Order: sequence, then C-alpha cells, then structure tokens
Amino acid sequence: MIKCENINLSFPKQIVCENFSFEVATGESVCISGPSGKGKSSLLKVLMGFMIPQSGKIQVDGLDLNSDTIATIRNKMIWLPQNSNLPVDSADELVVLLQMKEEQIRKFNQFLEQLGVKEYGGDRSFNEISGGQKQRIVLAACLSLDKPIILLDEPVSALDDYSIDLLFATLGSLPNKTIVSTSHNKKWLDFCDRTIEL
Amino acid sequence: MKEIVDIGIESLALGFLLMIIPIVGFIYFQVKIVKETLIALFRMVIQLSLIAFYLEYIFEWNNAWVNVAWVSVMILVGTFTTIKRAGLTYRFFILPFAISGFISILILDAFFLGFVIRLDYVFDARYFIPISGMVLGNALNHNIVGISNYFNRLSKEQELYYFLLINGNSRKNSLAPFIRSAIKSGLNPLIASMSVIGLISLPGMMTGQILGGSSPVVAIKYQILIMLAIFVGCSINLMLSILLANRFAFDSFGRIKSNLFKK
Repeated sequence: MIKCENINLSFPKQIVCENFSFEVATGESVCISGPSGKGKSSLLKVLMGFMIPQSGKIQVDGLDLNSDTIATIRNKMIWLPQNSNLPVDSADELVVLLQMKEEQIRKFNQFLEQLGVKEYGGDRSFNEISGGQKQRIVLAACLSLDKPIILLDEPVSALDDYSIDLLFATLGSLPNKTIVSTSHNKKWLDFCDRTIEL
Repeated sequence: MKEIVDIGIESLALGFLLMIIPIVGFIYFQVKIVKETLIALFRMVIQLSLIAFYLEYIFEWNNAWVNVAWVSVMILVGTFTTIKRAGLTYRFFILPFAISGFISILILDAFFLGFVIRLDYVFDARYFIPISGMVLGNALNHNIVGISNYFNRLSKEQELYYFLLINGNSRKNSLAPFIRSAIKSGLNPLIASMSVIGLISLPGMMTGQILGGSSPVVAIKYQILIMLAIFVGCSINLMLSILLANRFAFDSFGRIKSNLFKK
C-alpha cells in the first residue's frame, strides 16, 4: 500500500500541491491526472525519493520514506519515465544496463512479444524505431524485473489505439501489481481503477 | 660519454619564435585561445625556471621531509587544477581527489622505487621527485578528462541514472555505465599513446636521458618503467577519484547534489 499524507511540494515559481493526501491499495491501479505542467511527474518522483516535499509523510508498504528506507522502497518499484528519452541504443543494451538474469531476459522477450515489439528487440538500434516503440521496449524491460509497484509516467502519450490495447492486455495479465501512473488520456483513465486529480 | 650541448639563452629565445605559427593560426581561425596560450607559456617559463632553481637546492639537501613536502605540493596543485578544469566546486572534491593522489603516489613510489629499482633510499630526490612528477602530471591530464566525462554525463543523463537507480538493483549498478565511460575516456588516450610509443613518438624523458648522455638501452628501460608507472598511476588515481568523489557527490537519497558544478 502507498500512503501520502499532507504533501506540500512547490518549486520557486510553482506550487505543485498543498496538503495533498492519497492512498493506493495493493493491486489497485491509480492515475494522477491534471493539466500539463501541473507537476504529475514530480509527484511520481516524490514517491521514488527523487524529490523531497517541503512537508508531508509518505509510506510504502508500512515503511516511512526516508534515507534509511529508500533503497528498500525503490527495490519494490519499477519506473517508466516520460517519453523514454533514455540514452540507450538497443534492447540488448537495456539487458546489460539492468544486469538482467536469465529468467528476466526470458520474461523480457515474452513482454516484447505481448507489447508487439518483439522484432525490435536484440541489437536493433533505437534510432530505427519510433518513440512509442522504444517506450514499449523500455516498459517490457521494466516489467520483466517483476517488482510489485509499477510507476508509469505518461505511458500512452506516444502510443496508437492498437498499441494501447496491447498495453492494457499486458498489464491486465499481471496479478496483484500496484500501478501509479500519470496521464490525461481518456482511454488510460478508463483503464485505471481510480483517478486522483492534482 | 659525450658532453651535452648546452642551450644558450639566445637559442632558447629563438625557440619562442616558432610560437608565431600557432598564434597566427589561432588569429586566422578566430580561435579565442591566444591570451590563454600566452599566459600558459609565461607560466611555463616562470614555473620551470623556479623549479630549476628549487631542484638545485632540493637535490643538494636530499632530505626525505622536504622531498615528501615537495611531492605533496604537486599533489595538491594537481587536485585544485583537476577540480577547476572539470568545472566542479572545490568544497566537495578537494578531499577525495587529494586522497586519491596521495594513495596512487604512495603505491607507485613504494613499488617502483622500492621493489623494482630497489633504491636504498626511496626518497632520493633524483628519483622520487621526477618519477612522482611524471606520474602526477600525466594523471592530472587523464583525471581531468575522466572526471569531466563522469560528472558531465551524470548531469546530462540524470534520467538514465535515476532510471537505473529504480529499475536496477543497486546504486552501484546504476553508476556502473557512467564509471565505465569515464574510465574509458580518461585512459583511452594513454592506451593510444602507449601503443605508438617509439613509432611516432619519442617520449620526453627518454629523449632527455639520451641527450643527457645515458645509453639508449638504459633510457628505454627507464622509459618502459615510467610508462608502466604512468599507466598504473593514472588508472589508480582516476578510479579512486571517482569512487571517493561518489561519497560526496550524492545526498542520502542517492540524488546528485545540485551544486557540484561551478556556476
């Protein structure tokens, strides 16, 4: 379970949230929604300990998020960054960077197939494929790590309807995963159990 | 042994005439490094002249404490230069880079002067100072390249670091690609120069020894040793600098500190 209580997060020229509280139950899929630039991605970064709110309390599976627990909390999570502009050139490079084990590589290939990007795996350069295809490959790599909490930053922004359906089918096949995402895509909002307005 | 031909002050001054060619080139291509070049040239002349003067005394005294103090000053100057040239802030990096410099020199001098050359007196100024200087001078250049590459990439590719911090299984793994790239970029030029040494480059130390009257065989043996010392010294210094700097460059949440770079 993820629990955020009275989060106050602001930048020098922007208030992201004031006394913002929400809970996400284990196995629930929740989408943080709101206009562009409001700070949805920042809120995900707060959950990962990349941004520290001015005040408030964050708990993940009963652990208070702090410098002592951060490594344990991060080990429960996977994160798909927005647009996947990662400086990575191929699926093979992802395997090396994430130091995947044999079982994870097998799952990676399985997810590549489920997400419709199997042909772009291996050493094929990401320069030859679209942003959406790269994003699905990165997601397949993350999913193969098999962690209980999935954080997705704008997961469908670069996907067409067919690819979105493949993504739904893939995520739907994963039992008991907690999903926290950001998006303002109608189809994605309908897929999630609940929407949290920022 | 042949007497070495001394260079007169006029001949030395004549050598400076050759600098006109690159300076004209810089002006022609509007490369704004003329002022920097002239300052560096001036500093080189002053520093080397002073060193000639100091070394005369240091060689004469040949006192272990004075020699160690001299090498310590070289390490500290190297530390400050690395930080400045890499565009980093002093407060986080003086300690890790200075410790790396001291450890690498300690290992190298103990090994090469004590075990390989087997000097009775390892602090002998004629060996201890020039060999430490050669290693430190080279380590400085390669450290600047490697350290700049490391922190620039970490800063520009923060998202990859954070991606690996979450999706990888440890902080060590998330830094691994950045460390690999820094070591490669820092040491590649040294590997390249080592592979062509004697073919398209005759190293300064060897040339100096031959000009000074040593036999080429002795000069080459020293050159091989010094190349080994330089390579090992640069590698130890760069790897240690990165590892020790990591203890100061990240906060308790593993985030890259925002004030690592000089504004």
